[in-house]
Amino acid sequence: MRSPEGPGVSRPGPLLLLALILLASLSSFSGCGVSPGTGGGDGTQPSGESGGEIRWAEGAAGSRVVEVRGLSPATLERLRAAPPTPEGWYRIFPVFTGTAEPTDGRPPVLGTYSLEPDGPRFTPRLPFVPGQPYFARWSDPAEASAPGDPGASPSAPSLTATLTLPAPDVEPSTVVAAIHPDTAEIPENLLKIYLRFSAPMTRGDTFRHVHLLGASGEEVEAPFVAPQAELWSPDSTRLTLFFDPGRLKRGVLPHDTVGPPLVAGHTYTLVVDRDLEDARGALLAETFRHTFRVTAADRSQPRVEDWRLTPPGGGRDPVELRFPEPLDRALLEHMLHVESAGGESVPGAVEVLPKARGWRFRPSEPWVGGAYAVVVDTALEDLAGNSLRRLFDVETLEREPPATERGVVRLPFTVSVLSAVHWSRPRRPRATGPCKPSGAPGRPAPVGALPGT
Amino acid sequence: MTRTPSPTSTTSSRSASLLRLLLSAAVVVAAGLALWAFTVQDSAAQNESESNLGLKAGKVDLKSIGALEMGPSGVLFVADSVGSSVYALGVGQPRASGEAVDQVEDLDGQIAAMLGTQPRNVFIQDMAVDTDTGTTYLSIHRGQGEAARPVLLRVMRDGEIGEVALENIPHARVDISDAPAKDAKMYRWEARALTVTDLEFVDGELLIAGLSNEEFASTLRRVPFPFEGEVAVTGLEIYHGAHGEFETFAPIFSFIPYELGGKTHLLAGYLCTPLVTFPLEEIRSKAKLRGKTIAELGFGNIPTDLVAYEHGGEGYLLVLNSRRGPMLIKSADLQEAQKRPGITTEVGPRTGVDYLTPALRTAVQVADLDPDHLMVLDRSAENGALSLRAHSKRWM
Repeated sequence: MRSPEGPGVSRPGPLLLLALILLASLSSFSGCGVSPGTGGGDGTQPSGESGGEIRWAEGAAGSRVVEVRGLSPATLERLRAAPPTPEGWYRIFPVFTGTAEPTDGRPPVLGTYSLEPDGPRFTPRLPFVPGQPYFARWSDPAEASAPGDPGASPSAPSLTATLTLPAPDVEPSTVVAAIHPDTAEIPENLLKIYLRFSAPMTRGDTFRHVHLLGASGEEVEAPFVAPQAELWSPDSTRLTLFFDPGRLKRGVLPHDTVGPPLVAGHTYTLVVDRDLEDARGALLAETFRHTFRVTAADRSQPRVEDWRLTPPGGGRDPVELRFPEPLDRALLEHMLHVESAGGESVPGAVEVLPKARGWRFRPSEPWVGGAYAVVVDTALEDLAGNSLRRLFDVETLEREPPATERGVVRLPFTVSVLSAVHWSRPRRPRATGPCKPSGAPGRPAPVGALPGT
Repeated sequence: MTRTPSPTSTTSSRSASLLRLLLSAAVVVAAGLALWAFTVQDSAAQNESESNLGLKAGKVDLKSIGALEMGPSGVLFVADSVGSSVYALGVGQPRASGEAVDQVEDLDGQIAAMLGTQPRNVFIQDMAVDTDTGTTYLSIHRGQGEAARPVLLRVMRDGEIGEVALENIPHARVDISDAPAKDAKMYRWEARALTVTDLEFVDGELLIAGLSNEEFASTLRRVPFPFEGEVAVTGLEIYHGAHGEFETFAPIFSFIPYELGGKTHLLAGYLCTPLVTFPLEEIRSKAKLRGKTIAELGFGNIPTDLVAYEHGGEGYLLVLNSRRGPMLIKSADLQEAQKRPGITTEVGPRTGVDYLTPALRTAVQVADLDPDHLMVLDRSAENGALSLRAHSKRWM
């Protein structure tokens, strides 16, 4: 006989010993409690259970459980008088994965047992899978106290049932809702692509269904880094595809031997097969195709001096930035924010403008006249992974490594008191021209606070 | 070998527990006071150690389960990337009640049966072995994506498979979300995620390597255990010159503490498989750090696991890879490589240290088990089934 593990933490050796002794004593006790003659050792159904059945029932929070109903009052009384141990329950009321009791020694489904007023109930540790058959057996409770030979075949079962929850009929409806960058032209050293799906997706088998095709339809070999854990957003609606940086960086062997995945002047199509499953198990509603042309590599850092800032006229007008090149869509969503003169963060909503060439912020409350700044994290990147503070690949032998301090650049703007007051009559804002950052880039970020670099 | 799963909890009625309590008292008296005293002392000691480690009993609600790492005295670190957390779980150090077995066959079949599904829906994420007891912990997802259900199982040394129930377990949690500090209010962080690729417990500190879904860069998070202080971030912006004349900013995929030249280093494996070393003391004292590339093991590959072990008085480093076979490096060769200047020119795929190709062709996960064995999770080349086996170090 084996000792059951305690719930939660298993205790060290002595406790196990104790449990062993305990179990042994329990077994003998319940053995005494079973009145002879009702056991199912005769190879036929024990008396009194002919009307019983094993069936689905609803457990807590609508989950499915398996119940035995119609047991004789005597059997129920016996169970109440001497409840089986957890091990005993697994022996008299196992639920197996499949359509029959396994012969290869596979164990029953993990779960917990309880004795309800009308009969025993099995609640699986994980919800039953729709479409998966389960085989449940009910044997006489005398089994629970059978001598502990785990290999011993149970006496003839009183009841058995094969139970299957109907598989939900799911219609394909999920699509690739967006791709970033969504520009018709993409630099040769593009670092990443974001795919936004209209509903949560299944993880784990994605890269088999995502292809990069050349102009004549030939597949580009292994263009993406495919780590075991795919890079999904927490809600499983956005997938990040990193191009293998070994093939993007100059001097890296694969770059020189295999070449970059994208070649300037060529046209490519990113394809997401219809076979990709969403979280419901349905396929996509359609195959997704996005064609783009590849231009020369972008080996220059984005510079805030090249951006144009349009301050708000007042009220809840947005403050807007325009960039001469598309920047990283995901980073634009959270690497810029607006602060008041006092350094307070201004609450509001960010909108990334089409083709990721602009950024707009609308405050939740009307502007109060005064000085503000758009605060930009210097980790903000363009499509090729060049950030405000460094290029993606740098020739280290030619110069000192670039400054890598993580920091921020502040782009000041003012909202006049007058326009803030008369916000009900919005005035056409005037573009202020190229941005001039204030303060030295590199205001140190709190250690451990900013996202990783 | 018994295939009965360990029951994890029971909902038997209150009267049952009462009955058992009475029984236990009787049995205990019969068994002698000595055992009782020992047990109580032992359990009290465990409770004390749990509270010393800052663990509090309660429910752990994992959103996902990934990297595992054994901590001190029965503590298991568990990464939950979707939940942006790392947990320290007081799993204790239960010992197998039966004889040790060399191999647990049909592991994924058995696990699938216990989880009510088919083997193809069982995804083993990581493995950790408690070398004191030989117990193997497996982090598992049943299903994928939104439907994925995280489960922590343990395989006792006698082959018995059971669940570590998380309903009421001593634990502590640390937040590793990639979001900025609460005072720096930025917008729309919900799509951001950090996938923890590796955990290592070194000298009272848990080191966490991760892969961001938005930035292709390298950071190492560090948090003292017991979890009290803040999570510190060291920017390991590796200027490893291995890739010709160009810096790279790749993320660490796997790492391990390793003694090199008498000092503890982090030995880290990167994409395209350079092996890079960092002195641990510098990781602790500097916000950013340049690594030293001591070896190049081949491009187009991710080193999925690094395992250090000793056998016959010699140290070894085993490297498991995503696209290349496993590699076995002698510690002496690593020591020599560390003494040489780092690799700074473009080199071929087998530079810096030589390696053997161990007889572990189909290993999925490997961990040190005891002086003579490694614990190996193996996928059969014949039928694709998973097995867990104690692999003699002499057969490497």
